[in-house]
Amino acid sequence: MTALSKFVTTISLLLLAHAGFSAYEFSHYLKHLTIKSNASLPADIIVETVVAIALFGLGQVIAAPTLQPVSFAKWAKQVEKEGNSPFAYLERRAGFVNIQQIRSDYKDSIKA
Amino acid sequence: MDRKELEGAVAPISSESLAQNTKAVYYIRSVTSTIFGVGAGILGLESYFGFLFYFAGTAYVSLLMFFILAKGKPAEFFTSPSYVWTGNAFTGLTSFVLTWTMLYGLVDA
Repeated sequence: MTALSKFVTTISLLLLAHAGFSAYEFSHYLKHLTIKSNASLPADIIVETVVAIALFGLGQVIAAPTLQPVSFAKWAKQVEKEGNSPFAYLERRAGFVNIQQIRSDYKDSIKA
Repeated sequence: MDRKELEGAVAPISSESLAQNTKAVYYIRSVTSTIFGVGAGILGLESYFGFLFYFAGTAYVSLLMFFILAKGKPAEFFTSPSYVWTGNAFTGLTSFVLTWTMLYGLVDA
């Protein structure tokens, strides 16, 4: 989760909480202070809620891990560049081992 | 071998990345639909309007996933390119109804 997505998500949740509180207050006033009881929600609460939801969706989509290519060829290429190839074991087979390199490494390690 | 098997043999699919991508979509769908329910409850939506709100929100998130998550090329990340639009579109419906009804009751003083 990047800093940007955290920021966007936090802002959206604060907006949503504020909108919810405002809607509660509005219905409270409607019931106890006025006689008109069928008024609709004020436009600013509606806008606040919709903006909060839109921001939350955006924040979650930004936060998602990057998708991996579904084609095996592309995926394997990408994974091999990162250094953890699914075929690494093939390169460690006996026929591919550089014995002389290992021997000289061993000699060096004894000397040291 | 039929056509689909042949396609699989020529251009194999990485099941690991497919599972990872599907999981990402599933997570976004469940989390956002819960918050859509909170919004619908605050707005005090009733009957069909609540479900319309859910589908509008789902379409909005699909749009975001298409352009931001899949970078406009869903075919590269899913076996069926329409997965970004329709995949898991209904999984969040139950949690949506849960938070919708809960917030509807909470907001009503």
